[in-house]
Amino acid sequence: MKKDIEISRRVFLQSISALAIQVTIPNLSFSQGDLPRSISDNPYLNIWLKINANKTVSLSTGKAELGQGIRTSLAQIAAEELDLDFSKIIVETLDTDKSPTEGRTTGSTSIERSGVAVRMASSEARHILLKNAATNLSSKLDELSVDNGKILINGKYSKLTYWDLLGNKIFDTKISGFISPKNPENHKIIGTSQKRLDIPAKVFGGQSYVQDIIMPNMLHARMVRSEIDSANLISTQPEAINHISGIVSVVQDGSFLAVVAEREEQAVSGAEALKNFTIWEQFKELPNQDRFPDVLRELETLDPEVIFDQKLPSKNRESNNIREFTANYSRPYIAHAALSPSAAVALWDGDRLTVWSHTQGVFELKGAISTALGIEESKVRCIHVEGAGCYGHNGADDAGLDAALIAMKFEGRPIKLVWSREDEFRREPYGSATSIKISANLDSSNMISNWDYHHWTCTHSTRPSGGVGAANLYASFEKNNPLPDSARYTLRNRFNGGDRNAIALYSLPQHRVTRHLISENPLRVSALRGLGAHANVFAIESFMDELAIEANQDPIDFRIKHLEDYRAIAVLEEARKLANSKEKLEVSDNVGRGVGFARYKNTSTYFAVIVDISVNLNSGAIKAHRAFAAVDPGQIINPDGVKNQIEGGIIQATSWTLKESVKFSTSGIQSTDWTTYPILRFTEIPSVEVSLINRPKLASSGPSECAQGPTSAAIANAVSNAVNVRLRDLPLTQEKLNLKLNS
Amino acid sequence: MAIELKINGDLKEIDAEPSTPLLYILRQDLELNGPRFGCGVAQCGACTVLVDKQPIRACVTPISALIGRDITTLEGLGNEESPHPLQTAFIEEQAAQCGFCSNGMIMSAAALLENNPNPTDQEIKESLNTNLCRCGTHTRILKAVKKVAGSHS
Repeated sequence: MKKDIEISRRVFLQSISALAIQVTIPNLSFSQGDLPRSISDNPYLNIWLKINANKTVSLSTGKAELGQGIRTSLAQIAAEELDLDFSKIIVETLDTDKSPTEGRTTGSTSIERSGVAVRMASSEARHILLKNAATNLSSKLDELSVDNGKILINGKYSKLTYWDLLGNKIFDTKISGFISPKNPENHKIIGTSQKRLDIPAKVFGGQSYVQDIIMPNMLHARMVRSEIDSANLISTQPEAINHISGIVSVVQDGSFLAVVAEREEQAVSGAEALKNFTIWEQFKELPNQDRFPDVLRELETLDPEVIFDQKLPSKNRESNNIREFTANYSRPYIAHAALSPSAAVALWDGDRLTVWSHTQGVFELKGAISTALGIEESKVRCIHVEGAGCYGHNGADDAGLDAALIAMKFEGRPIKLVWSREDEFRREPYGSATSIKISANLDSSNMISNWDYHHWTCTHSTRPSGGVGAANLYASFEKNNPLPDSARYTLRNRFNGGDRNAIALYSLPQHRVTRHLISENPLRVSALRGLGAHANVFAIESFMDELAIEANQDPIDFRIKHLEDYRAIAVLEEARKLANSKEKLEVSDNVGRGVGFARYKNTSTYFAVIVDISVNLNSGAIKAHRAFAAVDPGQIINPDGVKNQIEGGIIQATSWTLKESVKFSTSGIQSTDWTTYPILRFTEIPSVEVSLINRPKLASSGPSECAQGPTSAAIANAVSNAVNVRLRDLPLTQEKLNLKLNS
Repeated sequence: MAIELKINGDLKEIDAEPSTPLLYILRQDLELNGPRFGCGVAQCGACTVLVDKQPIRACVTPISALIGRDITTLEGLGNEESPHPLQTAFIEEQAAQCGFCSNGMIMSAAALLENNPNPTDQEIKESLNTNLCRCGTHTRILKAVKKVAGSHS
């Protein structure tokens, strides 16, 4: 019955003018200008959906699978709106020649943006198919419904299916946006834990990754890059590796140097050997790491910029600032440290260049490569193929240009380029180091009366794109005629992402946030999961904990007293309920419990986590035992997918918090492998329990980045709870704690 | 120079330098995608294969050391038609994000269960401790391995 009502509403919407709709039901209507960006940029329905002869439906989306399960969730949305079984949806490869342009797959926005677009396209497609069916069956639209593509008239199966209705034709129409999607109450596939489409190939050894591509006539390449950072190539001796079998060529273009061979292991041996015959000269020293984080406040910054200044009306504000507190926090450079080094395959056929890449933005990479190579954009095609999880902007795009530069010299021969593990650690753009200072006052009732926040960080995003953004690709500043104004050494743009979550979500009568944007990046940096939100939330949530202690209040109660948003309060209460339902942790060492909370970007997913840790007083070793989390991402598309992202986020953030910091000397990066950049291992992981708060009537938000900051703060707060020692500089290592315990 | 290797039950004639690490032969010549290149220095475990049922790192093991040995890759463990219980459990538990570590996790767990069908949580963790996962899917992997271990008892 509900379905019939829905159809009649659709008919109603179709039967009246757009203007009337806008007047009567504004929340359901879109003028062309109001359409979501993904739709207005890609208005034709056939870009999104195709009815295939083999009784499936193809869905095309501009979002890349990064191991986060996005393609599965988007397929769920399409299946739901089309009334198809989930298995009927085929998600097409992301390809600049074919796919809708939807920007990069970043910022936890894929469900927010592509999800809305896929929903709109799919409900429109269903409507068009049903209109055709109504004509075909001489029935009324409101008599029709759909069951897995089969058309029903008044609940009885007709002879028609979706696959009879378009013939071999495509959807030849623009998306109007006037067709209302299903009422969430009628959802059958959204809100269910459909199994990920990509996992079977990964556990059976199928072709999953760009590294798996094998093509006829393919050559293998390996980069030769310096151990020194910021160095120019002075000289090399390609003939010195002639004796290695299978070597085809050494490609040099300025400081860009690569070995090309018939087989991969030959390219690896050749590149290793050539290093010994290549001389580099450093043109700029890195800062001394011993001086971090203090040095972050000494580097050149733009003029301090007050980005938020709020004074709520309050009586006796000044006189009410009874006690004042100040604390300084910091985060080091953190590596994405993907499990696989970056890779790409490129083929120049004499007319067009095709690059297979695990980039987060095929369209942006296409533009960047076209600029860097000086060829027309129409001559470049980028196809997305998965790599290992990236968690932000790592070397994926760089490897794309590396492979392209080499491929241009080998017409007709595909070039597979895989970075070495060492290059992956040395060359990827790290998550930016950050320094933060917070001062606050408590009033006579132990409420925060004043909050003054300063942070110092360089940009958190140097992603490549066409035009000037092409300079952000690594080889762009190595090759002859390097692209000007390299992002590495100058401030590329004012967007930096460093102030993400710098404004606390709490109700603070006087609240000021000042940004000190470091204009020169000492190390190559770019977007890492959460961008500035990680350091900002770590600092804010650590400081809230310090203030709660000063106020002699339970840290969750103290937070809730400063919150008005019911969804924020709900995740804190839910995490507390979950944690309190468990038995006390039974370990011999000093046990502590800490909490962390944030609404990612202050506009996205709500998240709270409670972490139980223990501290060995003799060694200072911190062990994270268990985490209890609550998450509210609005309407949940795939519950298990959300849990997977949260569990992974908590474990990765635990690793960042306890272990991770990129090591460097003035001459170069010293974190070059998994022993010099250790991450959390199996015996060190906490158990994780996640409680989901589903709000089917609210918009969906991405859950993939919300856990990072709160988890780091929860661990620091738990350490304080366990041993009454406050660690404010990440990572919270055994050495740092030991020093404080013994001081 | 040709070397004969027994891989997933079949004898394969390999024409490569004896010092060539097994991983390159598996991936390039035999087009077996299961074992992955993650580090090339035996630190991450993504390339794990079984040699006489013991997990080894294919990225550093020269083929000359494997003559006459039984080499099993992820593909030899099972396939979609006839999956190994661990492969089934990894899908049921959705024990992956990017999945780049899955090969090593499954191969190492298979070796563990072969020797110790009912491991404790701690024994599972210790046997997988040299396999790295960057996405943080450890808790799911643990569940998947326990599920198979539990079904043995």
